Amino acid sequence: MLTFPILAYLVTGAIQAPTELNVHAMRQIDKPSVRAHEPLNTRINIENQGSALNNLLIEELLKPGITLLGGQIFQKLFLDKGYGTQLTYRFKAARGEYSWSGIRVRASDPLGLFDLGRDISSPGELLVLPAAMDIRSTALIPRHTLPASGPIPARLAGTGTDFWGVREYRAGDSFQRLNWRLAARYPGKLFSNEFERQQIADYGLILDARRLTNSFETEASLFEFSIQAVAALTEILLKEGNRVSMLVLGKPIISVFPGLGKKQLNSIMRKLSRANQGTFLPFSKLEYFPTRLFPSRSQIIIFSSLSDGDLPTYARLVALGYEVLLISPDPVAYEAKKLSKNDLNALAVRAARAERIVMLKRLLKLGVNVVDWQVDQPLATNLHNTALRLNHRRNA
Amino acid sequence: MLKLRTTILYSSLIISTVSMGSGYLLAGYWQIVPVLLLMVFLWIIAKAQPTFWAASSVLVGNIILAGVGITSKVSLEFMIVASTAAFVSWDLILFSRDKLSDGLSEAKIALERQHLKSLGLAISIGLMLALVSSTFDFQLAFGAVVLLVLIAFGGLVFGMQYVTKKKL
Repeated sequence: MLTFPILAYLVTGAIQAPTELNVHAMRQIDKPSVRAHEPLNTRINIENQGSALNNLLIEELLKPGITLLGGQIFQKLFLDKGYGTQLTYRFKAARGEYSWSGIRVRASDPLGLFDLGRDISSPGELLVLPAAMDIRSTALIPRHTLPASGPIPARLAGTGTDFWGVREYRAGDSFQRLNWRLAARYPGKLFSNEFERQQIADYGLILDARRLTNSFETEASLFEFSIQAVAALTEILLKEGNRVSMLVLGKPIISVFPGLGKKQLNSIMRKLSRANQGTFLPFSKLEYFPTRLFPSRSQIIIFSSLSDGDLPTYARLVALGYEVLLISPDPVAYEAKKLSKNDLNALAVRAARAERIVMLKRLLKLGVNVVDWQVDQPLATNLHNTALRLNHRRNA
Repeated sequence: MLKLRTTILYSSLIISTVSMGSGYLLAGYWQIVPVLLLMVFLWIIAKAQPTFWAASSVLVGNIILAGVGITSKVSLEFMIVASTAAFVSWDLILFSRDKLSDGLSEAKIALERQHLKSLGLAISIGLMLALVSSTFDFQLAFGAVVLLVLIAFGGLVFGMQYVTKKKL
Protein backbone atom coordinates (compact mmCIF):
# COMPACT_ATOMS: atom_id res chain seq x y z
CA MET A 1 0.00 0.00 0.00
CA LEU A 2 2.85 2.35 0.78
CA THR A 3 4.20 1.80 -2.72
CA PHE A 4 1.02 2.88 -4.54
CA PRO A 5 1.98 6.58 -4.66
CA ILE A 6 5.45 5.63 -5.89
CA LEU A 7 4.00 3.34 -8.58
CA ALA A 8 1.55 6.03 -9.65
CA TYR A 9 4.48 8.46 -9.80
CA LEU A 10 6.45 6.09 -12.06
CA VAL A 11 3.49 5.40 -14.35
CA THR A 12 2.66 9.12 -14.65
CA GLY A 13 6.26 9.77 -15.61
CA ALA A 14 6.35 6.91 -18.15
CA ILE A 15 3.12 8.00 -19.81
CA GLN A 16 4.39 11.55 -20.32
CA ALA A 17 7.89 10.53 -21.43
CA PRO A 18 8.95 12.24 -24.70
CA THR A 19 9.01 10.06 -27.81
CA GLU A 20 10.59 12.48 -30.28
CA LEU A 21 12.92 15.46 -30.24
CA ASN A 22 12.19 17.66 -33.19
CA VAL A 23 14.36 20.60 -32.21
CA HIS A 24 16.31 22.85 -34.55
CA ALA A 25 19.22 25.04 -33.58
CA MET A 26 21.17 27.78 -35.29
CA ARG A 27 24.45 29.23 -34.07
CA GLN A 28 25.54 32.80 -34.62
CA ILE A 29 29.06 33.87 -33.73
CA ASP A 30 29.81 37.60 -33.76
CA LYS A 31 32.87 37.35 -36.02
CA PRO A 32 34.41 34.52 -38.05
CA SER A 33 37.88 35.35 -36.71
CA VAL A 34 39.23 37.22 -33.72
CA ARG A 35 42.51 37.83 -31.93
CA ALA A 36 43.35 35.48 -29.06
CA HIS A 37 41.65 36.38 -25.77
CA GLU A 38 39.38 38.93 -27.44
CA PRO A 39 35.83 38.70 -26.00
CA LEU A 40 33.20 37.41 -28.38
CA ASN A 41 29.44 36.72 -28.24
CA THR A 42 27.67 33.60 -29.39
CA ARG A 43 23.94 33.13 -29.77
CA ILE A 44 22.23 29.80 -30.31
CA ASN A 45 18.60 30.00 -31.36
CA ILE A 46 16.63 26.85 -30.58
CA GLU A 47 13.19 26.14 -31.94
CA ASN A 48 10.87 23.28 -31.04
CA GLN A 49 9.16 22.05 -34.20
CA GLY A 50 7.69 18.94 -32.60
CA SER A 51 5.38 18.37 -29.66
CA ALA A 52 5.76 20.27 -26.38
CA LEU A 53 8.88 19.30 -24.47
CA ASN A 54 9.09 19.12 -20.71
CA ASN A 55 12.28 19.43 -18.74
CA LEU A 56 14.18 20.38 -21.88
CA LEU A 57 17.84 20.72 -21.04
CA ILE A 58 19.88 22.56 -23.64
CA GLU A 59 23.57 22.38 -23.06
CA GLU A 60 26.53 23.82 -24.90
CA LEU A 61 29.82 22.06 -24.23
CA LEU A 62 32.76 24.42 -23.92
CA LYS A 63 35.80 23.38 -25.91
CA PRO A 64 39.26 23.27 -24.37
CA GLY A 65 40.88 26.68 -24.74
CA ILE A 66 37.62 28.57 -24.39
CA THR A 67 36.89 30.57 -21.24
CA LEU A 68 33.33 31.59 -20.41
CA LEU A 69 33.03 35.27 -19.52
CA GLY A 70 29.29 35.50 -19.01
CA GLY A 71 25.85 34.41 -20.15
CA GLN A 72 24.31 30.96 -20.21
CA ILE A 73 25.67 27.77 -21.66
CA PHE A 74 22.71 25.69 -20.50
CA GLN A 75 19.02 26.13 -19.92
CA LYS A 76 16.31 23.91 -18.49
CA LEU A 77 12.84 24.87 -19.47
CA PHE A 78 9.45 23.86 -20.85
CA LEU A 79 9.25 24.53 -24.57
CA ASP A 80 5.86 24.44 -26.24
CA LYS A 81 5.34 23.42 -29.86
CA GLY A 82 6.49 26.12 -32.28
CA TYR A 83 8.21 28.15 -29.57
CA GLY A 84 11.90 28.91 -29.30
CA THR A 85 14.55 30.03 -26.90
CA GLN A 86 18.05 31.43 -27.06
CA LEU A 87 21.35 30.60 -25.41
CA THR A 88 23.63 33.62 -25.31
CA TYR A 89 27.10 33.63 -23.88
CA ARG A 90 30.30 35.63 -23.99
CA PHE A 91 33.67 33.96 -24.13
CA LYS A 92 37.31 34.35 -24.99
CA ALA A 93 39.52 31.77 -26.65
CA ALA A 94 43.15 30.84 -26.96
CA ARG A 95 44.81 30.79 -30.41
CA GLY A 96 43.50 28.02 -32.63
CA GLU A 97 40.79 26.83 -34.92
CA TYR A 98 37.46 25.94 -33.33
CA SER A 99 34.50 24.20 -34.87
CA TRP A 100 31.21 23.23 -33.33
CA SER A 101 28.97 20.57 -34.75
CA GLY A 102 26.01 20.83 -32.43
CA ILE A 103 24.54 21.24 -28.98
CA ARG A 104 23.31 18.62 -26.57
CA VAL A 105 19.56 18.54 -26.03
CA ARG A 106 17.74 16.33 -23.55
CA ALA A 107 14.04 16.25 -22.69
CA SER A 108 12.16 14.19 -20.15
CA ASP A 109 8.73 13.76 -18.64
CA PRO A 110 7.61 16.53 -16.23
CA LEU A 111 8.79 14.46 -13.25
CA GLY A 112 12.26 13.97 -14.79
CA LEU A 113 12.18 10.15 -14.78
CA PHE A 114 12.44 9.05 -18.42
CA ASP A 115 14.54 11.13 -20.74
CA LEU A 116 15.45 11.29 -24.38
CA GLY A 117 18.52 13.10 -25.62
CA ARG A 118 20.53 13.74 -28.73
CA ASP A 119 22.97 16.15 -30.29
CA ILE A 120 21.29 18.77 -32.45
CA SER A 121 23.25 20.11 -35.38
CA SER A 122 24.24 23.76 -35.01
CA PRO A 123 27.51 24.14 -36.87
CA GLY A 124 29.88 27.02 -36.33
CA GLU A 125 33.50 27.86 -36.91
CA LEU A 126 35.87 30.32 -35.37
CA LEU A 127 39.45 31.15 -36.13
CA VAL A 128 41.36 32.66 -33.26
CA LEU A 129 44.41 34.48 -34.52
CA PRO A 130 47.54 35.06 -32.45
CA ALA A 131 47.34 37.81 -29.85
CA ALA A 132 48.67 41.20 -30.82
CA MET A 133 52.21 42.23 -29.85
CA ASP A 134 53.28 45.85 -29.90
CA ILE A 135 55.94 46.19 -32.61
CA ARG A 136 55.64 49.42 -34.54
CA SER A 137 58.79 49.30 -36.64
CA THR A 138 61.59 46.80 -37.17
CA ALA A 139 64.32 49.27 -38.23
CA LEU A 140 65.90 46.32 -40.08
CA ILE A 141 67.70 47.25 -43.27
CA PRO A 142 68.42 44.14 -45.34
CA ARG A 143 71.47 44.21 -47.57
CA HIS A 144 69.53 43.15 -50.65
CA THR A 145 66.33 44.72 -51.84
CA LEU A 146 63.82 44.11 -54.60
CA PRO A 147 63.33 46.45 -57.55
CA ALA A 148 60.13 48.02 -56.33
CA SER A 149 59.69 51.16 -54.29
CA GLY A 150 59.33 50.64 -50.57
CA PRO A 151 60.63 51.80 -47.22
CA ILE A 152 64.16 50.31 -47.19
CA PRO A 153 67.17 52.43 -48.25
CA ALA A 154 68.72 50.51 -51.14
CA ARG A 155 72.21 52.14 -51.24
CA LEU A 156 71.51 53.28 -54.77
CA ALA A 157 70.71 56.64 -56.19
CA GLY A 158 67.12 57.13 -57.17
CA THR A 159 63.87 58.59 -55.99
CA GLY A 160 63.62 58.82 -52.25
CA THR A 161 63.75 61.26 -49.41
CA ASP A 162 67.26 60.82 -47.95
CA PHE A 163 70.10 62.79 -49.56
CA TRP A 164 72.51 60.51 -51.45
CA GLY A 165 74.86 62.71 -53.48
CA VAL A 166 75.31 65.23 -56.28
CA ARG A 167 76.03 64.67 -59.96
CA GLU A 168 76.23 66.81 -63.06
CA TYR A 169 72.91 67.86 -64.52
CA ARG A 170 71.52 65.64 -67.28
CA ALA A 171 68.84 66.57 -69.70
CA GLY A 172 65.47 65.60 -68.27
CA ASP A 173 66.41 66.15 -64.62
CA SER A 174 63.79 68.00 -62.62
CA PHE A 175 64.66 71.64 -61.90
CA GLN A 176 63.46 71.11 -58.38
CA ARG A 177 66.45 68.84 -57.81
CA LEU A 178 69.05 71.37 -59.00
CA ASN A 179 71.75 72.16 -56.46
CA TRP A 180 71.94 75.96 -56.77
CA ARG A 181 74.81 76.35 -54.34
CA LEU A 182 77.13 74.17 -56.46
CA ALA A 183 75.90 75.89 -59.59
CA ALA A 184 76.94 79.21 -58.06
CA ARG A 185 80.37 77.86 -57.17
CA TYR A 186 81.01 76.43 -60.67
CA PRO A 187 79.66 78.97 -63.21
CA GLY A 188 78.48 77.46 -66.45
CA LYS A 189 77.66 74.10 -64.92
CA LEU A 190 74.53 72.68 -63.35
CA PHE A 191 74.28 69.95 -60.73
CA SER A 192 71.41 67.74 -59.62
CA ASN A 193 70.86 66.37 -56.14
CA GLU A 194 70.47 62.62 -55.91
CA PHE A 195 68.41 60.81 -53.31
CA GLU A 196 68.74 57.31 -51.95
CA ARG A 197 66.43 54.87 -53.61
CA GLN A 198 63.97 53.16 -51.26
CA GLN A 199 62.87 49.67 -52.08
CA ILE A 200 61.11 46.70 -50.61
CA ALA A 201 62.87 43.56 -49.43
CA ASP A 202 62.25 39.85 -49.24
CA TYR A 203 61.71 38.47 -45.75
CA GLY A 204 61.46 34.80 -44.85
CA LEU A 205 60.11 34.01 -41.39
CA ILE A 206 60.93 30.61 -39.96
CA LEU A 207 59.23 29.51 -36.76
CA ASP A 208 60.90 26.63 -35.01
CA ALA A 209 58.04 24.60 -33.48
CA ARG A 210 60.02 21.54 -32.51
CA ARG A 211 59.78 20.01 -29.08
CA LEU A 212 63.38 19.81 -28.00
CA THR A 213 63.14 19.08 -24.29
CA ASN A 214 60.75 17.46 -21.85
CA SER A 215 59.86 20.82 -20.32
CA PHE A 216 56.61 20.98 -22.27
CA GLU A 217 55.07 23.90 -20.41
CA THR A 218 58.05 26.19 -20.94
CA GLU A 219 58.32 25.18 -24.59
CA ALA A 220 54.61 25.74 -25.18
CA SER A 221 54.75 29.18 -23.54
CA LEU A 222 57.80 30.24 -25.53
CA PHE A 223 56.16 28.90 -28.68
CA GLU A 224 53.14 31.12 -28.05
CA PHE A 225 55.41 34.13 -27.53
CA SER A 226 57.19 33.29 -30.79
CA ILE A 227 53.89 32.98 -32.65
CA GLN A 228 52.82 36.38 -31.39
CA ALA A 229 56.14 37.83 -32.49
CA VAL A 230 55.86 36.25 -35.96
CA ALA A 231 52.34 37.64 -36.32
CA ALA A 232 53.41 41.12 -35.25
CA LEU A 233 56.46 41.12 -37.52
CA THR A 234 54.46 39.82 -40.48
CA GLU A 235 51.95 42.59 -39.98
CA ILE A 236 54.54 45.34 -39.82
CA LEU A 237 56.65 43.98 -42.68
CA LEU A 238 53.68 43.59 -45.00
CA LYS A 239 52.36 46.98 -43.98
CA GLU A 240 55.68 48.50 -45.08
CA GLY A 241 55.16 46.86 -48.47
CA ASN A 242 57.71 44.05 -48.21
CA ARG A 243 57.40 40.56 -49.57
CA VAL A 244 57.07 37.94 -46.84
CA SER A 245 57.13 34.16 -46.79
CA MET A 246 56.78 31.87 -43.79
CA LEU A 247 57.70 28.38 -42.69
CA VAL A 248 56.56 26.74 -39.46
CA LEU A 249 58.69 23.75 -38.66
CA GLY A 250 56.22 21.88 -36.47
CA LYS A 251 53.36 19.46 -36.77
CA PRO A 252 52.25 19.86 -39.50
CA ILE A 253 54.98 21.71 -41.39
CA ILE A 254 53.34 24.88 -42.66
CA SER A 255 54.68 26.97 -45.51
CA VAL A 256 53.45 30.16 -47.12
CA PHE A 257 55.13 31.23 -50.35
CA PRO A 258 56.30 34.83 -50.77
CA GLY A 259 53.57 37.37 -51.22
CA LEU A 260 52.53 40.93 -50.53
CA GLY A 261 49.61 42.79 -49.10
CA LYS A 262 46.55 42.04 -47.05
CA LYS A 263 45.85 38.72 -48.70
CA GLN A 264 49.26 37.44 -47.67
CA LEU A 265 48.77 38.78 -44.15
CA ASN A 266 45.46 36.98 -43.92
CA SER A 267 46.99 33.77 -45.23
CA ILE A 268 49.88 33.86 -42.76
CA MET A 269 47.62 34.71 -39.81
CA ARG A 270 45.29 31.84 -40.64
CA LYS A 271 48.15 29.40 -40.85
CA LEU A 272 49.69 30.70 -37.64
CA SER A 273 46.45 30.11 -35.79
CA ARG A 274 46.70 26.44 -36.76
CA ALA A 275 50.37 26.01 -35.92
CA ASN A 276 51.27 23.34 -33.38
CA GLN A 277 54.43 22.00 -31.90
CA GLY A 278 55.88 18.76 -33.23
CA THR A 279 58.56 16.31 -32.26
CA PHE A 280 61.45 14.55 -33.98
CA LEU A 281 61.84 17.10 -36.75
CA PRO A 282 65.39 17.69 -37.91
CA PHE A 283 66.28 21.36 -38.26
CA SER A 284 68.44 20.39 -41.24
CA LYS A 285 65.14 19.96 -43.13
CA LEU A 286 65.43 23.68 -43.84
CA GLU A 287 68.15 23.00 -46.39
CA TYR A 288 65.74 21.02 -48.53
CA PHE A 289 63.09 23.68 -48.83
CA PRO A 290 62.72 25.16 -52.33
CA THR A 291 64.40 28.44 -53.05
CA ARG A 292 61.01 29.68 -54.18
CA LEU A 293 60.02 29.75 -50.51
CA PHE A 294 63.08 31.75 -49.50
CA PRO A 295 64.41 33.61 -52.54
CA SER A 296 68.13 33.88 -52.76
CA ARG A 297 69.79 36.62 -50.64
CA SER A 298 66.60 37.35 -48.75
CA GLN A 299 66.50 38.33 -45.10
CA ILE A 300 65.62 35.29 -43.03
CA ILE A 301 64.32 35.76 -39.51
CA ILE A 302 64.33 32.57 -37.46
CA PHE A 303 62.40 32.24 -34.19
CA SER A 304 63.98 29.45 -32.22
CA SER A 305 65.01 28.63 -28.66
CA LEU A 306 68.09 27.07 -30.23
CA SER A 307 69.50 23.60 -29.95
CA ASP A 308 73.08 22.43 -30.09
CA GLY A 309 72.69 20.44 -33.29
CA ASP A 310 71.26 23.37 -35.27
CA LEU A 311 74.50 25.29 -35.79
CA PRO A 312 75.53 23.55 -39.05
CA THR A 313 72.18 24.48 -40.60
CA TYR A 314 72.66 28.13 -39.68
CA ALA A 315 76.17 28.00 -41.18
CA ARG A 316 74.76 26.50 -44.36
CA LEU A 317 72.05 29.16 -44.64
CA VAL A 318 74.65 31.92 -44.30
CA ALA A 319 76.84 30.16 -46.88
CA LEU A 320 73.91 30.08 -49.30
CA GLY A 321 73.84 33.87 -49.17
CA TYR A 322 70.90 34.43 -46.85
CA GLU A 323 71.05 37.20 -44.31
CA VAL A 324 70.03 35.38 -41.13
CA LEU A 325 68.64 36.96 -37.99
CA LEU A 326 67.86 34.68 -35.07
CA ILE A 327 65.30 35.83 -32.53
CA SER A 328 65.75 33.41 -29.69
CA PRO A 329 63.35 33.43 -26.73
CA ASP A 330 65.54 32.56 -23.76
CA PRO A 331 64.32 29.26 -22.26
CA VAL A 332 66.94 29.31 -19.50
CA ALA A 333 65.77 32.61 -18.00
CA TYR A 334 62.12 31.59 -18.39
CA GLU A 335 62.60 28.23 -16.71
CA ALA A 336 64.88 29.66 -14.01
CA LYS A 337 62.08 31.90 -12.74
CA LYS A 338 59.93 28.87 -12.04
CA LEU A 339 62.58 26.90 -10.17
CA SER A 340 62.90 26.93 -6.40
CA LYS A 341 65.90 28.82 -5.16
CA ASN A 342 68.61 26.47 -3.95
CA ASP A 343 72.28 25.90 -4.66
CA LEU A 344 71.73 22.98 -7.00
CA ASN A 345 69.22 24.85 -9.18
CA ALA A 346 71.42 27.95 -9.21
CA LEU A 347 74.33 25.86 -10.45
CA ALA A 348 72.19 24.16 -13.11
CA VAL A 349 70.87 27.51 -14.36
CA ARG A 350 74.40 28.89 -14.47
CA ALA A 351 75.61 25.93 -16.53
CA ALA A 352 72.64 26.15 -18.93
CA ARG A 353 73.18 29.89 -19.33
CA ALA A 354 76.88 29.39 -20.06
CA GLU A 355 76.04 26.76 -22.67
CA ARG A 356 73.54 29.09 -24.30
CA ILE A 357 75.96 32.03 -24.36
CA VAL A 358 78.61 29.84 -26.02
CA MET A 359 76.09 28.76 -28.67
CA LEU A 360 74.98 32.34 -29.35
CA LYS A 361 78.60 33.45 -29.66
CA ARG A 362 79.32 30.66 -32.11
CA LEU A 363 76.35 31.80 -34.16
CA LEU A 364 77.60 35.39 -34.16
CA LYS A 365 80.95 34.11 -35.43
CA LEU A 366 79.14 32.28 -38.22
CA GLY A 367 77.63 35.59 -39.32
CA VAL A 368 74.18 35.09 -37.87
CA ASN A 369 72.71 38.14 -36.14
CA VAL A 370 71.16 37.27 -32.83
CA VAL A 371 68.44 38.78 -30.65
CA ASP A 372 68.55 37.13 -27.24
CA TRP A 373 64.95 37.73 -26.23
CA GLN A 374 63.90 37.69 -22.59
CA VAL A 375 60.19 37.16 -23.10
CA ASP A 376 59.22 39.26 -20.09
CA GLN A 377 60.71 42.25 -21.92
CA PRO A 378 59.26 43.77 -25.11
CA LEU A 379 60.68 42.34 -28.30
CA ALA A 380 60.32 45.71 -30.01
CA THR A 381 63.12 47.25 -27.90
CA ASN A 382 65.44 44.25 -28.34
CA LEU A 383 64.85 44.16 -32.06
CA HIS A 384 65.26 47.89 -32.47
CA ASN A 385 68.59 47.88 -30.60
CA THR A 386 69.90 44.95 -32.65
CA ALA A 387 68.81 46.61 -35.90
CA LEU A 388 70.51 49.87 -34.95
CA ARG A 389 73.70 48.01 -34.07
CA LEU A 390 73.63 46.14 -37.39
CA ASN A 391 72.94 49.28 -39.40
CA HIS A 392 75.74 51.11 -37.62
CA ARG A 393 78.18 48.25 -38.29
CA ARG A 394 77.15 48.14 -41.94
CA ASN A 395 77.51 51.88 -42.44
CA ALA A 396 80.90 51.87 -40.75
CA MET B 1 5.21 29.57 -8.92
CA LEU B 2 8.33 29.36 -6.78
CA LYS B 3 6.24 30.44 -3.79
CA LEU B 4 3.67 27.72 -4.50
CA ARG B 5 6.36 25.06 -4.72
CA THR B 6 7.92 26.18 -1.44
CA THR B 7 4.52 26.23 0.22
CA ILE B 8 3.76 22.70 -1.00
CA LEU B 9 7.19 21.51 0.13
CA TYR B 10 6.85 22.88 3.65
CA SER B 11 3.21 21.73 3.89
CA SER B 12 4.13 18.18 2.89
CA LEU B 13 6.99 18.14 5.41
CA ILE B 14 4.60 19.22 8.15
CA ILE B 15 1.89 16.77 7.05
CA SER B 16 4.43 13.93 6.96
CA THR B 17 5.75 14.65 10.45
CA VAL B 18 2.34 15.34 11.99
CA SER B 19 0.77 12.21 10.44
CA MET B 20 3.64 10.02 11.51
CA GLY B 21 3.62 11.50 15.01
CA SER B 22 -0.18 11.29 15.36
CA GLY B 23 -0.24 7.65 14.24
CA TYR B 24 2.41 6.57 16.70
CA LEU B 25 1.23 8.76 19.60
CA LEU B 26 -2.41 7.68 19.27
CA ALA B 27 -1.21 4.08 19.44
CA GLY B 28 0.71 4.95 22.60
CA TYR B 29 4.25 4.82 21.27
CA TRP B 30 5.78 7.85 22.98
CA GLN B 31 9.29 6.68 22.12
CA ILE B 32 8.71 8.01 18.58
CA VAL B 33 9.17 11.67 19.68
CA PRO B 34 13.03 11.74 19.53
CA VAL B 35 12.95 9.78 16.26
CA LEU B 36 10.52 12.33 14.79
CA LEU B 37 12.71 15.20 15.94
CA LEU B 38 15.66 13.48 14.27
CA MET B 39 13.62 13.10 11.03
CA VAL B 40 12.73 16.81 11.07
CA PHE B 41 16.40 17.64 11.56
CA LEU B 42 17.37 15.34 8.67
CA TRP B 43 14.74 16.91 6.40
CA ILE B 44 16.18 20.35 7.19
CA ILE B 45 19.66 19.08 6.28
CA ALA B 46 18.32 17.49 3.08
CA LYS B 47 16.64 20.80 2.17
CA ALA B 48 19.83 22.77 2.83
CA GLN B 49 22.05 20.25 0.99
CA PRO B 50 19.72 18.98 -1.72
CA THR B 51 21.71 16.00 -2.95
CA PHE B 52 20.01 12.87 -4.25
CA TRP B 53 21.46 10.66 -1.54
CA ALA B 54 20.60 12.98 1.35
CA ALA B 55 16.96 13.39 0.28
CA SER B 56 16.59 9.71 -0.62
CA SER B 57 18.05 8.55 2.69
CA VAL B 58 15.52 10.61 4.63
CA LEU B 59 12.69 9.31 2.42
CA VAL B 60 13.79 5.71 2.98
CA GLY B 61 13.94 6.40 6.74
CA ASN B 62 10.40 7.75 6.61
CA ILE B 63 9.09 4.74 4.66
CA ILE B 64 10.81 2.34 7.08
CA LEU B 65 9.14 4.18 9.98
CA ALA B 66 5.79 3.87 8.21
CA GLY B 67 6.42 0.16 7.58
CA VAL B 68 7.35 -0.40 11.22
CA GLY B 69 4.19 1.51 12.20
CA ILE B 70 1.98 -0.73 10.02
CA THR B 71 3.44 -3.91 11.51
CA SER B 72 3.02 -2.38 15.01
CA LYS B 73 -0.72 -1.89 14.33
CA VAL B 74 -0.46 1.90 14.10
CA SER B 75 -3.22 3.60 12.04
CA LEU B 76 -2.67 2.59 8.40
CA GLU B 77 -4.18 5.81 7.01
CA PHE B 78 -1.77 7.97 8.99
CA MET B 79 1.20 5.94 7.76
CA ILE B 80 0.08 6.13 4.12
CA VAL B 81 -0.41 9.90 4.32
CA ALA B 82 2.93 10.34 6.13
CA SER B 83 4.92 8.32 3.60
CA THR B 84 3.16 9.97 0.63
CA ALA B 85 3.84 13.45 2.00
CA ALA B 86 7.48 12.46 2.57
CA PHE B 87 7.63 11.31 -1.04
CA VAL B 88 6.29 14.68 -2.24
CA SER B 89 8.93 16.44 -0.12
CA TRP B 90 11.63 14.24 -1.63
CA ASP B 91 10.50 15.08 -5.16
CA LEU B 92 10.30 18.83 -4.55
CA ILE B 93 13.68 18.94 -2.82
CA LEU B 94 15.28 17.20 -5.80
CA PHE B 95 13.40 19.44 -8.22
CA SER B 96 14.70 22.56 -6.50
CA ARG B 97 18.21 21.11 -6.76
CA ASP B 98 18.12 21.26 -10.57
CA LYS B 99 20.02 24.19 -11.99
CA LEU B 100 17.47 26.14 -13.93
CA SER B 101 18.11 29.04 -16.24
CA ASP B 102 18.63 32.44 -14.64
CA GLY B 103 15.66 34.67 -14.14
CA LEU B 104 12.02 33.80 -13.79
CA SER B 105 11.15 33.39 -17.45
CA GLU B 106 7.84 32.19 -18.80
CA ALA B 107 9.45 28.92 -19.87
CA LYS B 108 10.75 28.29 -16.38
CA ILE B 109 7.38 29.00 -14.81
CA ALA B 110 5.76 26.64 -17.32
CA LEU B 111 8.29 23.94 -16.46
CA GLU B 112 7.52 24.26 -12.78
CA ARG B 113 3.77 24.31 -13.44
CA GLN B 114 3.99 21.10 -15.49
CA HIS B 115 6.01 19.41 -12.78
CA LEU B 116 3.57 20.36 -10.02
CA LYS B 117 0.62 19.32 -12.17
CA SER B 118 2.10 15.88 -12.87
CA LEU B 119 3.16 15.42 -9.26
CA GLY B 120 -0.32 16.36 -8.08
CA LEU B 121 -1.89 13.90 -10.49
CA ALA B 122 0.44 11.04 -9.55
CA ILE B 123 0.13 11.62 -5.82
CA SER B 124 -3.68 11.98 -5.94
CA ILE B 125 -4.05 8.70 -7.84
CA GLY B 126 -1.48 6.94 -5.67
CA LEU B 127 -2.95 8.17 -2.42
CA MET B 128 -6.48 7.29 -3.52
CA LEU B 129 -5.43 3.77 -4.55
CA ALA B 130 -3.52 3.28 -1.30
CA LEU B 131 -6.39 4.49 0.88
CA VAL B 132 -8.97 2.47 -1.06
CA SER B 133 -6.85 -0.68 -0.88
CA SER B 134 -6.38 -0.18 2.86
CA THR B 135 -10.09 -0.83 3.35
CA PHE B 136 -9.75 -4.34 1.88
CA ASP B 137 -8.30 -7.16 3.90
CA PHE B 138 -7.08 -10.05 1.75
CA GLN B 139 -5.41 -13.10 3.19
CA LEU B 140 -3.28 -14.55 0.39
CA ALA B 141 -0.68 -17.28 0.36
CA PHE B 142 2.98 -16.18 0.10
CA GLY B 143 3.36 -17.79 -3.35
CA ALA B 144 0.31 -15.94 -4.67
CA VAL B 145 1.71 -12.65 -3.36
CA VAL B 146 5.05 -13.28 -5.11
CA LEU B 147 3.22 -14.14 -8.34
CA LEU B 148 1.10 -11.00 -8.16
CA VAL B 149 4.17 -8.86 -7.50
CA LEU B 150 5.98 -10.40 -10.48
CA ILE B 151 2.98 -9.84 -12.75
CA ALA B 152 2.63 -6.25 -11.55
CA PHE B 153 6.33 -5.58 -12.02
CA GLY B 154 6.36 -7.17 -15.50
CA GLY B 155 3.27 -5.23 -16.49
CA LEU B 156 4.85 -2.00 -15.31
CA VAL B 157 8.07 -2.65 -17.20
CA PHE B 158 6.17 -3.61 -20.36
CA GLY B 159 3.98 -0.54 -20.04
CA MET B 160 6.98 1.71 -19.67
CA GLN B 161 8.71 0.14 -22.66
CA TYR B 162 5.59 0.60 -24.73
CA VAL B 163 5.15 4.21 -23.73
CA THR B 164 8.76 5.28 -24.06
CA LYS B 165 9.35 3.05 -27.14
CA LYS B 166 12.67 2.04 -25.66
CA LYS B 167 14.07 -1.38 -24.88
CA LEU B 168 15.73 -1.97 -21.54
